[in-house]
This record gives sequence, structure tokens and C-alpha cells, in this order.
Amino acid sequence: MRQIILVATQTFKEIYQSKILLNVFILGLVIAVAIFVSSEMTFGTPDRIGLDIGLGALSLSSIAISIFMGSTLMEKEIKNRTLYMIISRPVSRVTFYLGKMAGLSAILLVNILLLFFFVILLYFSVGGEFHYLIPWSLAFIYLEAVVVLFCVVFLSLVSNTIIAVLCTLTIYVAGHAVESVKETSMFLSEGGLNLFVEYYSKLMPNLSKFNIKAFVLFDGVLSSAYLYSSLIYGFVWVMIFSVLSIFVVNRKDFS
Amino acid sequence: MLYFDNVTKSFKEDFWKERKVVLNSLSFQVNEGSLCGFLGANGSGKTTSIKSLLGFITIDSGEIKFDHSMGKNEKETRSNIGYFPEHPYFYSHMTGREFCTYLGRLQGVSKSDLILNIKYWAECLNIEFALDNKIKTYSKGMLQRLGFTSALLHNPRLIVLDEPLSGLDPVGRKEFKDVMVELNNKGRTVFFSSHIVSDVEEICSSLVVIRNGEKFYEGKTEALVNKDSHTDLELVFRSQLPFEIIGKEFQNMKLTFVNDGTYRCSIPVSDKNEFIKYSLAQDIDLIEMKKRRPSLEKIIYNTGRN
Repeated sequence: MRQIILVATQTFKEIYQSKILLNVFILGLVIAVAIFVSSEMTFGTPDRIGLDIGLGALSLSSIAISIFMGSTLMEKEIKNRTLYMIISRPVSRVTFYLGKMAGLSAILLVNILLLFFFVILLYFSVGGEFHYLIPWSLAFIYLEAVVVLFCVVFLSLVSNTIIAVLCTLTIYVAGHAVESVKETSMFLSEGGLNLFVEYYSKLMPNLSKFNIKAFVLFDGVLSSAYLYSSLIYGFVWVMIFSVLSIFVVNRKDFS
Repeated sequence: MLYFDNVTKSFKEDFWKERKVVLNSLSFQVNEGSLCGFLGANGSGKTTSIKSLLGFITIDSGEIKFDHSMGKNEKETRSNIGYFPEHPYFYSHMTGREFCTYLGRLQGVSKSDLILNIKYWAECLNIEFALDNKIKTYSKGMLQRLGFTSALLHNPRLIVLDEPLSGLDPVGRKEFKDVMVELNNKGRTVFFSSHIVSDVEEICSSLVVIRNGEKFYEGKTEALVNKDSHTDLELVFRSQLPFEIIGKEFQNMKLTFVNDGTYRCSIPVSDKNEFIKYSLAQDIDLIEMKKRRPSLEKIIYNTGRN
């Protein structure tokens, strides 16, 4: 555990020094301007529009960090061979992998918390009120980013950076669209397509489960069973990608 | 201490290409307390052997074993190994001290020991002045020094170095060799690869030489050199006598060089005493007499060609 923390801390510092968190300030500024403009142009609901823009930006920025930093997280260590300096010591490959993942997950958390703090401050400043799903939406945005991170890292271990990024983007888009597609009449009438989409939603991450923004914005209600099952669903996908990655990392030749 | 037992490793460069055998039933051992050189030409399989030994790559067949004294399991064994790769790889955003501290802590060295060990080895390897600078500002020689320092922080029993002297200036090479000898004198086992024979000959007591992934020689350096030593003596002398007269007395004498009454030639060892007597009688000024001993480099080069 001590070694995982050491690797995670080093990873966190390395990514932090790459100025990735600058995006918090840039995005914060963009969100602030967007909320100001939208509050001038809309009547009655500037708080909701602000929250909508804020949560959307939060989600996109964390997904972007997951995909683009995640795709090179392990690959860079292998390509630059800095990995040699670590795994020649009494540090197992699994420990190293888990440490790297923990480090980047921590960066994601800091990024999301900082941006969320800024968004919620703006939201309350334009008259927004607390809704019980707001913390849940934050948790789901983070969980979705972590699922995407573990997915892209696994794909980068079995392919290369470009393929990993493209495949993960596809999985991300498909994962959000799959529920809507299932309800489309064309698919409902096509037996084969219907079956494919049905199986896809079961075999691949269905990321639409984490999208509860509409419920937050329109004072919707979600059962705690749905919330907790989505949380478990996310953890299960993190576990699946972890197990697959560990399997690959343990067998990979670092030549 | 370290045993390679029939180790075979092959790589597939391309899906359509056949596997290329890089290590072919390679067997050798490195004894505890030895300073063992691992010689071979570029592409002979030295780095692959070292990567296999450290578990970076899996071997197709055979076994790499360590003495029980190195540890009961892989983790314990690793904690007794200090490794320094051919091209040391670093996190360039760190300072030298941060890098050493990070690796030392991963190794489980206590903070107080780490401070002392970093100071000691960085001084020995002449890199202490740059420890607080970012690694990205280091020159190649400085990176080598830092890499070597980081390999020694946990007082390893077996030190594995892959081409540690490449890219160093003469001063750096001398310092590195001195440290290797110092480590060996303290009882540490040092196993280092090189393709520069003179460096290995200078400091190593034993040798493993590989060629095309196969063992070519294993044993004492001295034994390999003596095995191929000539039975001739090399002579340098001054004389007013023409060589034809001297040559008549010693039928097996071979002239290699002559300049203004100074001769360089070779005679069989069996003629040594006769020649000394003759030179005293004929007032020959004997300047040098030594056994002809080829360098290790020449032996390996010649045998490689054969």
C-alpha cells in the first residue's frame, strides 16, 4: 500500500506540473462568461442555465483529461522506459499500475472539485437553490471519468495511443447514445439491430446511467435504488477494466 | 549467486516474420563476491539477458535462479539487486535528489539512511553539486552518474549494470571503474555488461562472453588471456652486429622491426637463457625482454573471426 501511495503521489505531482489544472481556470472563466451572457439573454432561469453549462463543462473537461492523459499514462512509462527504474525494484507491476491509476484519479478528483466549487458558487450567486441530486451528479461525473480512464488505459496497453483514444471516444459516445437508440422506432422495428443494441448495452459500459443532469435541472426525482445501482455499476466497470489491465500488465514484455 | 540455466529467448519482429532467437540455451553463473564482466558485440544478447534477469521480459525456456541468500521470494530478491540500465531513464521534472529519494523510498530505505546514502554515493560519483537541479538540465554524463547513484542507495548485494561506461568521458570512466572496484572490495557482487573489452579486462576478475546469444567463454579473465598467450618472447636490443649473424645463432628468431641498430624480434621461450648468454658474450645491449601477451580484445576479436 505504501508503494502504491508513493507511485500515486509521484504521478500526481508529475501531472500537476504539466499544468493540466490550468484548464480549471480557463474553463472557470468560460463558464462565468457563459453564465453572465445567458442570464442577460434568458428570463427567469439563469441559475438552471448556469448549472447546465457548468455541469456540462465539468463533465467534458474530466472526460478530456481521462482520455488524453490516460492514453499516455502507462504508454509513456513503457516508451520512455522510466518503468525500468521502478519495476527493477521490489515494486510489482500491479502496484505500479494501481499507483499510476490512483495518481491520475486523484488529479481528476481535484479538477472536478475545483471546477464544481466554482460552478456551484456561480449557481448560488444567480439565485440557484440546493437540490439533493447535485452532489450525486458530481459523484457520477467523477465516476464516469474514472470508468473512461480505466477503459482508455486498458486499450492503450493492448494497442497504441491513437487507437486507444479513438476506441474510447467511440465507447463514450455509444455509451451515452445507447439508451436513446433503444427507444428509436427504427431500431424497435429492426429485429437484428434491436438485438445488437440490446447486447451492446449489456456488454459495454452504458454511460447514460451516469447522466442525471436533466433530473437536477428540472427538479426531478430519482430513487435511491437507481442511484446506488448506478454507483455499483460504475465500480463494476472500473473493476472489469482493472482486472483486464492487470492481466495484460503482468504478461507484457517490456523490451 | 546468479545462474542462467539454458535460457532461450526469441522475438517476433513482425506478425509475418519468423521468430528470431536472441538467446540460445544460454547458461552461465556469476559467483558471489565477484566482479564479473559480461562481454559481447552489439546485438549479441547482453541487454536481453539483463532484461530477462530483471523480469522485464519473459523467457521462452530455461531458468534464471538466484542463491537463497538473495531472498526467499521475488520481492526479497529484487530488494537485493541494484540495477542501472544502458540508457538511464528519468522523470525529467524531478530534481536529482527527488528522484533518488523516490527510488530509495520505493526500495524501502529509511529516510535517515537515504539522506546518508544519497550524500555518500553522490559524492563518490561526483554528482552531488547537481542534486538539487532539475534532471532535464543534466548532461548525459550527469545522468549516468545519477543513475548509478540511484542503483546503490539500498546497499544491494548484487549490482547489475548494463553498459555503465558508455557515453562517459575518460575521467568519468575512471571514477565509475573505481566505484565498481570499491563495491567489489566491500563484498558486493558486480555484474556489468560492456562491449569495450579493455574496460572489462582492466577491472574484472571473471568473464562471461556471449556471441549471437550463445555462451562463448565463462571463467577467469586471466585464464582466457593466458590460454591464448604466445610461447614466444619479445626482445628489444641494440647491437652493432648485423641481424644475419645473430639470426644464424637463433634459427627461430623472427625480426619484426629494425632501426639504426635497434632490433625488435621474437624468440621461443626455450631460447631465453641461450640468448641472454649470447648477448653478454657479444656485448648486445638488451633493452627489453617480455612474454608476448595479446590483449583480451585481440583474443576475442580473433576468436570471433574464426
